[in-house]
Amino acid sequence: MIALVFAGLVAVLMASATYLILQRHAVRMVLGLGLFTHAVNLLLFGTSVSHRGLPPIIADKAAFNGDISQFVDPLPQALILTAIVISFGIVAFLIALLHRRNSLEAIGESCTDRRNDPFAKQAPATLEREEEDYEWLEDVVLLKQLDKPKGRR
Amino acid sequence: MDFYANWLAAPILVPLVFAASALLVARRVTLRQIRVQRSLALVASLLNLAVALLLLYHTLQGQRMVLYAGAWQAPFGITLVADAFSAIMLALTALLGVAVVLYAMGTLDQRQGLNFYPLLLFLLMGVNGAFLAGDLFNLYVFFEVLLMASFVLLSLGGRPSQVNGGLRYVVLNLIASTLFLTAAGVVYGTLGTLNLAQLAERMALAPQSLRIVLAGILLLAFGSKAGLFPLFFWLPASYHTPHPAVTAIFGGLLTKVGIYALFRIFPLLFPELLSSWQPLLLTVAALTMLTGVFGAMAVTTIRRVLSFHVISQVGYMVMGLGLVASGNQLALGFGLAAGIFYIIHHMIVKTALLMAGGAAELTMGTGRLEPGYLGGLAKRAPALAVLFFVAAFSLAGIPPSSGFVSKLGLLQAALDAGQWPIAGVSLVVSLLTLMSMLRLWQKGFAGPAKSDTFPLRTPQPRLTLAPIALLVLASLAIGIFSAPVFGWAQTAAAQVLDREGYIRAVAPRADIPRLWAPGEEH
Repeated sequence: MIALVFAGLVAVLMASATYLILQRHAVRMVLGLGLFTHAVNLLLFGTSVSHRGLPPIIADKAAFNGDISQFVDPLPQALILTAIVISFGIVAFLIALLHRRNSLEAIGESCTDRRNDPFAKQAPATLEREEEDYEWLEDVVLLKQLDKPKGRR
Repeated sequence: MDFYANWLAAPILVPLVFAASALLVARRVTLRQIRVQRSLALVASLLNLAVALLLLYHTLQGQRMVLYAGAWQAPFGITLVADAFSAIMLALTALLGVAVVLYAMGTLDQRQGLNFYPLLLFLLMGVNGAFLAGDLFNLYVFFEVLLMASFVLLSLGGRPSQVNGGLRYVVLNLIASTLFLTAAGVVYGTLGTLNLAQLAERMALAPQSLRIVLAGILLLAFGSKAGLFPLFFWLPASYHTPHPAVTAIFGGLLTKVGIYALFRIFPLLFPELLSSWQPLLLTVAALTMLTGVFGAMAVTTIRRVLSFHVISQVGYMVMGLGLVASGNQLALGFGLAAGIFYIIHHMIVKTALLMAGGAAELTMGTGRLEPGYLGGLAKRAPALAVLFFVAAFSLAGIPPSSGFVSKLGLLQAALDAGQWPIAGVSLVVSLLTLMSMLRLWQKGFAGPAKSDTFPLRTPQPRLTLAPIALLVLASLAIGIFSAPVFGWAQTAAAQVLDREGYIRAVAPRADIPRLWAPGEEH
C-alpha cells in the first residue's frame, strides 16, 4: 500500500515537473527542474521504506542475528543526500545564469538566439550574421588596448 | 598487485589536489599568481599522464586492477576498477589534458584565464573518475563533477551567447543526469545493489520488463550526454561559444564519456539486448552520422562546422557498439574493438582540429566562412595550415592517417555482420566529411592572404602550435603503427565483453540480500 502511495506521488511530481519544464517561462522551468530532482529523490527514498518506523541503525548489536527486517536500509538516504547536494548546486548555477541573462538584457544585450529558435515569431533579418560567436575576441581587443598605454609608461 | 591497485586513486586525486591548491594560490588576481596556476596545471597534467601510462602498461597485459576504497569489500565501499578500456581512455584524457594546458598557455590572455586551469583540472578529475567508477552511483557522481566543471568553463566570460548556450547545456544535462539517477534508484530498489559486478550477476535474474526499462532509461541518459541522434541539440547550441581551448577539450572529451558509459554498461549488464536492440542502435548510429554531417554543411563558422562533426563521429562509435553481437568470419568483439579504435582516433584528431580552428580564428579575428572574412591562412600561417590539413584529412579518413584505419575496421565489421545499410551510410558520411573538410580548407586556408578583422595575435604562437603538432603526430603514428594499437583495442574489447572476468576480478560478496527474489511476483 505504502509503495503504491509512493509510486503515485513520484508520478504526480514527475508529471508536474514535465509540464513546468516545457513552459517557455524561465522561472517555471527552474521550478520544474527542482520538482524533477525531488521526484527522483523520493523514488530513491521509496526503495527503503518497506519497513516503516525503524531506524536505519542496528540498535542492539548483540541481539542482531543478520535479519535485515530489523532495520531500514540506510544507503538510499546517503544516496539522496548526495543527489540533493548535486542538484541543488546545479539549480543554483542555473539561477545564476538566468540572473546574468536578465542583467544583460536589462542593458540591452539580447540573449535570445532567434536563428536557432523555430518558435521565433518573425524570421530574423540577420540570418547569416554570427558575430556573437566572437564576443570573447572583443574582450581580447579591449585588453590589448588597455595594454598599450601601460607599456609606454 | 595491491601496491599497484593503489595507483588507481591517483588519476582522481592528482587533479583534485592541484586544482584545490591552484584555487588557494590565486586569491588575488595578479599576473604572477596566474602564472603559478599555469605551472601547477602543467605539472598536474604531466603527472596525470605519467600515472595513466603506468596504468595502461599494467592493464594491457590483460589483467584488471581493482581498488576497494578504505578496504571496504565490494559491494559495500567505493570500488574503482581499471581494465584496458578504462586505461586507454585515461591515457587519452591525460594526453588531451597536457595538450590543452599547453594550448591555453599559448592562446589564453592571462587576465581572461582566471581560474581556467583549476576548472580544467576539476574537469579532468571528473572524467578520470567516470572512467574508473566500479558502481552506478559513483558513475553518476563523477558525471556530475565533470558536468559542474564544464558548466562553469562553458560560461567563463559571461557573454550573451555563452549564457544562451550555457542555459540549454545545463538544462539538458540536468535532465539527462536525473534520468540516470532514476535508473540507479530503480536498480537499487529492485536488485538491491549498485555495484556493477554484482549487477552483472543479478541482472540476468530480473524480469525482462525491468531490464528493458532500465536499458531504455540508461540509453536515453547516456545518449543525450554522448550527443546521439534525437538528443544532440544542446551540443551545436553551446560548443562554439566559449574560448577555443574550452571547445577543444569539450569536443575531444565530453561526449566520449557518454560513449564510454554505453560501451561499459551495455555489454556488462544487458548482453542479450546488444543483439535484440541491434537495429535500434544501428539506426540511431546512422541518423546521428547523417544529421551531424548535414548540420556541418549548413553552418558557416569554422568551429560550428567542427562541432557538428563531433556529432557525426559519435555515430561511428555507436555503430561499433551495434556490431558487437553479430559476426561471421571475424572474431567476436571485432566491432567493439573497431569502435574503441575509433574513439582513440577521434579524441586525438578532433581536439587537434578544434585547436587548429580556434588558432585560425585567433589569427584572423573571425571564423566566418564567407567571402571577406576568413581566408588565405595558408599564406599567413603556413605551419597552422599544414597541421589543419593533416588533421582534417585524418578526420575524413584518408590514408595513412588514423582515420583511415579506424573507418576501415568499422566497415569490415559491418560487412562481416552483413549490415549493408550501415556500411553504405558510413561510406557516404565519410565522403561528405571529406567535402566538408575541403570546404573549410577552400574557404579558410586557400586563396590570397587577407588582412584580419580584429588586430589580434595569439600571445604565444609557438605554444599554440606545439600541442596541435603533438596531436597530429600522434594521429599519424596511430595510422602508421595501427597493428599494435588495434591489438590494444582488441584486448580492451575482449575485456569489456568478458563479464565473468569482470565479476571475478571485483569479487563482490554474494551474501548480500536483495529485496526482489527470482520467481517471486511483486
